[in-house]
Parts: sequence; C-alpha cells; structure tokens
Amino acid sequence: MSELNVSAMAILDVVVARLRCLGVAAMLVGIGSACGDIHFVPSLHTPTDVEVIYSEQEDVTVIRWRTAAAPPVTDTVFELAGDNGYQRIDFARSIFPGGAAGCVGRPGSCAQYVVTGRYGDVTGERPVRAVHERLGVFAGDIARERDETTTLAMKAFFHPGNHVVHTLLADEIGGDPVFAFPRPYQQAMWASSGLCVPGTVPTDAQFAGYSGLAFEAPKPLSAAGFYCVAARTTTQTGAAGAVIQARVATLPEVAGFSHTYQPSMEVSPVLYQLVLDLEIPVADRCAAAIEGIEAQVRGVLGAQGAPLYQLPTVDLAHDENGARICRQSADRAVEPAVMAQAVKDLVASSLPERHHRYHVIYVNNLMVTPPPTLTTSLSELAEAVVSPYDIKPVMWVFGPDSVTAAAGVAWDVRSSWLAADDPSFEIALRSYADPTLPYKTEIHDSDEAIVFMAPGAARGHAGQRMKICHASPVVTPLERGRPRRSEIPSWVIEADDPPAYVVKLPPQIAVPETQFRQSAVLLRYEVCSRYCDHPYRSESGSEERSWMESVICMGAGT
Amino acid sequence: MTLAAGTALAAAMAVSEAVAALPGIPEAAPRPAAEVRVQNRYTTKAHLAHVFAGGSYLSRRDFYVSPGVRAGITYHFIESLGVELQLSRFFSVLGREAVEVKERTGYIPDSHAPEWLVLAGGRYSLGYGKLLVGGAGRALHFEPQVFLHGGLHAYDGDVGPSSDAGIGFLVHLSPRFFARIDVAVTVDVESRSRGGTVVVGAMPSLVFGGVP
Repeated sequence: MSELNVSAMAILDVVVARLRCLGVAAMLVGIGSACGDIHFVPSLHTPTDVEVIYSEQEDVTVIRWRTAAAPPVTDTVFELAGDNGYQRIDFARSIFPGGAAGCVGRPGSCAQYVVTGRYGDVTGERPVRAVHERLGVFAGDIARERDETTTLAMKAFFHPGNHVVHTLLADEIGGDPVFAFPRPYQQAMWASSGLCVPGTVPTDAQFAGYSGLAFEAPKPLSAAGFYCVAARTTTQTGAAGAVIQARVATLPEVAGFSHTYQPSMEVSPVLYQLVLDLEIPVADRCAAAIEGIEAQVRGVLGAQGAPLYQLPTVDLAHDENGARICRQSADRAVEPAVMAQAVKDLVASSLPERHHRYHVIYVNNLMVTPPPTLTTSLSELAEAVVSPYDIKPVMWVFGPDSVTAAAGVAWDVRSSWLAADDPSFEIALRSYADPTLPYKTEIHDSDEAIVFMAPGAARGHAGQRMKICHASPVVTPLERGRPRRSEIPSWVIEADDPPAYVVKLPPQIAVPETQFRQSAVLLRYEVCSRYCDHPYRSESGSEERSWMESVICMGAGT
Repeated sequence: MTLAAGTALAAAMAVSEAVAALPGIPEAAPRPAAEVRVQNRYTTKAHLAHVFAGGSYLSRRDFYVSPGVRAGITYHFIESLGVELQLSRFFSVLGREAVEVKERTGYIPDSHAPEWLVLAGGRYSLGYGKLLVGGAGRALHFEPQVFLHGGLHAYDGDVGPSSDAGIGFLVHLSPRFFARIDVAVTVDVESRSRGGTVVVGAMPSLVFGGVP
C-alpha cells in the first residue's frame, strides 16, 4: 500500500474519531453512545493459562496451555522459547503423552508438552506462542511457574475377596481432570512383612502394564497377607519412570449371614357360660327367649376365629323341678364352686393352651337390683376360677341400669338390655367381641437360649471367628449357656457350642387381638475365615484397624 | 447549459439591447440576432436500471485495514430518485499496530474484521449540471446525489444491522456509462467483548457502471 493511501486512511480515521466525539452514532441510530470502544482480548489461537510445572519427583517439566479454538487445531502450530528463540513444538518428542486436544469439561483446546529436567526460569516470560497458518503469530500468556514435590502418588487396597488389587493413582501429569493425556502404567507386587521403601524394588519383581486402576492379586496369597505394591510410568520411548510404592494388606475374608427369630403364638379358646336371670310374665315365651339368647351369643363368639367352648347355661329363673319358667326368686344364686370346677376340668382335660379367659355372661331383664345372694355368688365365682392354668374370668352383664350398676360384682363388660328380642343385644356383643377376641399370647422365655447357627453350620465354621453386626432388639450372646464375657466383640465358633443368644421381649399374654403385635428378632452377623486381624473399610465407611477387634462389620453379603 | 441558465442569458441580452437603444450611446458594432435555445439532457435515468461495480474502503478505527469491492444495481422510478441494492466484500487484515500487539501479547482487538455488507435503500439526485473543463475539449455532465441505505453485515462471524448515508457525485462518461464517487458514514451494531456496540465508520467508494 502506498504512502499516499496510508495517509488518506489516517485522515479518514481522524474524521471518524471526530464524528464519534460528536455522538453522531447516538443521533443516527439512537442506541447508546458506546461508539465502537475497542478492547484487546485473547484471540481464539492465543495460548492462555500457560503453566510450567516442574516435578521434583520425576525430574520433568510439564508445560500446559489452553486455546479458545475448538479441537482439532490443525491450522495452528505451537512454538516453545529456547536458547535459539522460538522453536516449533513436536509433540511426538514429549517425554510423556502430549499434544493439543479438547479440554475435559471445558470449551476450547488444551495442550501439554513434557520435557526432561527443569525447563528454566520463565518468570515474566511468554514461553509458548501459536502460529496460525493464515493469521500468523500469537504470543502466549505470561507463564505461571510452580514446583511440585510429588506428581505421582498411590494408594492401594484389596477388593473384598482378595482376588483383585485396586490402586488409586494421583497423577498430576497423566491424570489431570482437564488436560487429558493419560500415560501408561506398570505394576509389580511382592509379599513383604516389613516396610515398602520407595525406590527399592526386589530384583525379581516383575513389572507388567495395567490400567492404573486394578490388577489381579497373586495366587495363592501369603499366609501373612501383607504385600508391597509398586507402580511406575513409562515414557513415550518406553523408558521406566519414577517408581512409587504402597503397602497393602489382604482384607478379612468374611461372609455375612442373617437370622430372624419369631416367638410362637398361642390363640386362647373362647370359654363362656351364660347365666340367665330372666323375668318373663308370659311363660310360653320363656324357652324361646332363652334359646334366642343362647343362639345369639353362640353366633357372635363362634365367629371370632378361635375354638369355642360353651359351658352349660345356668338358668336362675326355673322352678323347683328345673323347668324353665322365667320367674325370678328372691334368694337365687349361682354355685361358684361347681361352675369353677367345671371350667378347670375342661381346661385340664381338653385344652392344651397355657392362657385362658372364661367369659361369664349374666343376663337379667328385670329393672330390679339383683339380690345380694346372687351378686355374692358371682363374685365368688370370679375368684374361684383362678388356678395354675391361668384362667381369668371376664364378667359380662346385660340388663337394665339397676342391674349393671349393682354393687358386689366387678363387671368387665356392661351393656344395657331390657328384652330378649332387643336387637341391641347382638350389637353389644359384637362391639366387645370383634375387637377383642380371640386373645393371643406370645410364647417366649427370655432365659431360653436361641440358637442362631445350626449345629451343622457351627461344625463347618468351627475355629473361625464371628461377631454380631446388628441385632434388633438387643440380644445377649451366650457362651456355653451363660452371657458371653469378652473384651473384643468377636469370638471363636466352637462345634459343640453353636452360637446362641437370649433376648428380652415385651410380654404379650392373652392380649386382645387388635392389641397384639408379633415380635421378631432380626440378627445380622459375620463369620471371618482368614486375615481377621487385618484392617478394612467398614460397612459404614469408616477405616477399621482389625475386624476381630472392631464392633463394626464389613458388610459382606451372605 | 440548463434551462435556467439559458433564460438568464436571454434576459441579459435583452437588457443589453435595451441599453444600446438608448439615445446618446452608440452601438459599438452591429450584433447578430440570437435566439434562446434549451439543450436536452445529456442522458436520462428515469425507468432505467444502472448496474455498477467498483472499489471501496471501510474505515472504522477498528485496527483493521479494510479495502473492498462493491457491486450493485439502482433502478430509477423517476429521473431524480432510485432504489438501490448493493453488496460489498472487504478483504480486511489487521493493521500494523494490532499485529504488533498480537505478536507481543497474543491479544487482538475485539472488533470483527469486516467481510460482507449488503445494503438496500434510496438514492436521490439533487440536480444536474455540466461543466466545460478547460483543455478537455468537452463538457463534464454530472449529478450531485445523496443516499441512505440499511441492511446487514457479516463480519468474521458477527452478523448484525448496518446502515450508511452520504453524498455521491455521479459523472456521465457517455450517455450509457457513468462513474460515481460516494462518501458514506456507516453505522454498524456489532457484538464485542462487552456486548453490543454501535460502530461509526466512513466508507468512500468509486464505482463504474452503466445501463445494461
């Protein structure tokens, strides 16, 4: 371009500047007054975030930078400053994998180049620049420099089962989360009872390539179960890099088991006896009323899902010959001793259950207070049935308020009733029977040992250690029938003393059905067959020093 | 000569004859009789299309040197007014100062290198004249013009609205061909690092064209 043209352009530029100062743009388009302010910004191809990292451990320098250009950046080459000025970077000569590729999780391209030794002081310098095939040279950012003592570190551990060894490599050079230039790894492993000294590798140790994540454990494992694991990288030319080591211990070899204990349940039979004390002026209706009452009671109590036993109905309103006349006498009474004995005989002879409830159902339709002879005899009956068979009376009364309120008897169930054909009679019966009957009992003895490992299994695990991981509710492990006393939570299984425990459960004896709750003991335990004193990661995630001394289990599956 | 100019000359001649007829002032020499004549336009544009092409230069103080080429077409509804569509292509390169900054720091201006500009609008001829250029042996037929355009730009990935306005000087080289110099003020709305920015520039151009 000639000088004349350059001058003309300069004049134009000045004119434009003046116009801007006059706010012509704002007048013309009515948009703000930015007037074309220009800021210098990194280009797509400018190397930014330039970092020079020296690894003291590996004696290499990693040079990294980013560009905003999307990969692949085939139209750009990069140059590195050296003694002879900028020289084109040949990524194939990078000691460890390098290049310019897409950044991980970020836009643009990330580049890495690794050189041997320390690259040199780059304070305030721009060691990297880009040369675009069409746009020319772009200087890079001023480099940030840092030294790292360690760029490759490792943690190693066995996988449960001890078949695989995992390694967690912290690799600053090959494992950067943004600059993805993974480098190859090799591993070696040998049994060692002592320390694993970095840089000291047995002469017979064989390194083999692996993913950097895991490799197969040696077979068979040593008795002690302690090993040194070594890992190293290799350069792009195949040379060995720095060696790092970690000590690993086999994990306790553990199997998990579970056990559930549910006490047996007993359903109490329904024992009942009607005591009829009716006053019906029309004698012809007496028998029908009695039969009706008996049928209704039988129907309701018989539908409760428990064996029904009816003792002979006691009819207090009969004549001297025993005929049913439904005519109350003033001195009427029941025979408590006879009735109680009949109940006891029934239980003793026919009922194997341990707990019984004897329902005495007294029915009176006359609005007159019962005579003391009667209330006294009923009260005596309630006391007379109590026996070693755990028979407890349940006293029902159906009648007018003057009857249900009569003193002398501790009624358990009171219900107003006036006539034999009163429909509320059956409703009253059901309102008590349906939510209450049958009574249920949980059969459990808190002093009785509950064996939770079958004798055969105990023989199979004899000599191995076990411990209870979780028990709900809390149980007391037994040792030869007595509570186990031990300073450590695990114990050795003995073939002649299968693992057992005792447990206290809330007593449930003859409880109404709707209030009955079936108890259960849930138990989870582990059996350790090998390396039981080795450290492990517990099922709750904590690091434990020894399985046999820790109360927390490994969480092994069954 | 235009009609107005001819009328004025005829009036001046009439005054001169009247003065000469006054008693006491003798006529210096007998003068030939002359009649007033109105010359037709050299060429007309009404209901004709002009196609044109040429070069331009866009200056926006954006650190880019932006020479370009331009082509377009103008259709005249009437003699003085036409509608126009024109397309410009700029071949922008970073200016010397910006190249120096780029090579020293890697930074470049956040302005976009002008590339494509398409504008449509109107062009108005303010008048028509001819000028006898001494030594050329012929008259120069010209039209001073004004124009206003709006459209879109596509500058290195940035697409946005643009407009220009300015003055033009059209010279008829022949009844069929012409040359035109335009000087425009351009306004672009461009996306830069801190958001949308109004950019004012200047764009001179020289085009040649004719009636197809």
